[in-house]
Amino acid sequence: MPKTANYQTLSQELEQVLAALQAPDVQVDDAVQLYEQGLKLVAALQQHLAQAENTIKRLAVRPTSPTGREV
Amino acid sequence: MNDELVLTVGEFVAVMNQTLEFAYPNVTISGELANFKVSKNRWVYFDLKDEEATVRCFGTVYQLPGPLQDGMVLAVKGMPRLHPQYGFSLNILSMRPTGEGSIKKAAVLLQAKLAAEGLFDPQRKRAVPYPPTHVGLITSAESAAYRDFIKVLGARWGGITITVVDVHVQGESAPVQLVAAIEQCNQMARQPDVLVVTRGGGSAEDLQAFSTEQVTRAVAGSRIPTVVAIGHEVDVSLAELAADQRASTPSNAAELLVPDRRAVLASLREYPNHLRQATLQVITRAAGELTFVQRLLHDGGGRVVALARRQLGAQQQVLRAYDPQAALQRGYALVRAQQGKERHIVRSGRHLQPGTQLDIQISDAEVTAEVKRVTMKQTGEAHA
Repeated sequence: MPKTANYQTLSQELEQVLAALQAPDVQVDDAVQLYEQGLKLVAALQQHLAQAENTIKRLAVRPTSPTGREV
Repeated sequence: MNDELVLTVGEFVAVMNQTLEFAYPNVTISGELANFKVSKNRWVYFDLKDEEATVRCFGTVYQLPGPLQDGMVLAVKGMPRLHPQYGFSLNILSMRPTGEGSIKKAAVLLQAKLAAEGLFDPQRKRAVPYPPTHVGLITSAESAAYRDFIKVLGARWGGITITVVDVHVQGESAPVQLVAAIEQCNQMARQPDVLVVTRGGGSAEDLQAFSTEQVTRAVAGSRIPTVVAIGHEVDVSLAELAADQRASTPSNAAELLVPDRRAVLASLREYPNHLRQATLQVITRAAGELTFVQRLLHDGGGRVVALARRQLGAQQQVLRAYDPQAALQRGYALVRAQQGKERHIVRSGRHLQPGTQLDIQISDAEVTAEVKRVTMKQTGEAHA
């Protein structure tokens, strides 16, 4: 999985893995691979949720006016 | 000598206007609205009055804060002027309803107008991405609302880019700045997934910007889905009605926008079990299929053996039919004669001579005999 993967991508992948595992025609070899892939995705999601922080960018409005700021 | 200054009427009006412009370049007057008129869909005339006085005001429809009605209290900012024909008036620069009653009345009138246009229709509401990856936050960056939103969002979720556009959320410039910020976000190269327009609670007057026509239209017109959160519960601002989603406070907006990571982590802990169960089901199903195939093979093998047995039985019958012992039991005999050093089964009388020794095998004995006479069936030739 790519390093830049975000929560949505990882979460969607995990749902796809689970859906593939629950498909009626999945073979045992594929199921074992999907299981391992699913566990990796769970770990990546847990790490993402535990560590990810928000990034804040501040912009001034265009145009600006000097009055009436709420504090 | 008479040095009294005598002005023409026009000169007097010009001097008065110069004096007024010097003394009062602009002035804000608060009073009750009376004789409100709109002319040619462009010009606005009304009187502003109290118990003691009346002042005529003149402006354009573009300066209206929304629909107005006589009896509402307005704060009008304008330039005092003496008109050459119509006398004294205030040339309007801006105006806004003041006082709880008038603000509410103005909001009710504007709400009816915008509702008729369909700005608040439920079918216009779009889904807000959950959770978003990029939030455009339009608020005062110095406010408690800003701090609350950032704190709650950060506690609940991570990995979001928050682009904050710092605006005034009350006062005369607030509506213009809020509209500009919404447009600014909509024009960004990398647009946010959602716009959050928020501020903390305040008086009806403090929150007025969020019920102005321009801000309400900007919220409704945003191509990016909007969440409007004003920290009050009693009255709903028009911008909230026009938003795709409304939140009661800045913190509530953050709560609506993202899940709580603790809850998501808890549900993630269930996933290995889900995955294991699903994998086990696949294995169990495959094992079941294998047993089925084994049974098929077993059953099929049994059928093959039974068929072989039947075929064997038929062949045994055929063999039994050719068994010479069975023929002997039915009364036939095997006759052998010595020919040279060997004994052969006698199939013809041609090689038999009187005196030839015969070994006759019947079902229960061997008999030794000697040929006395040989008569050939077809020729009648006899050897004796």
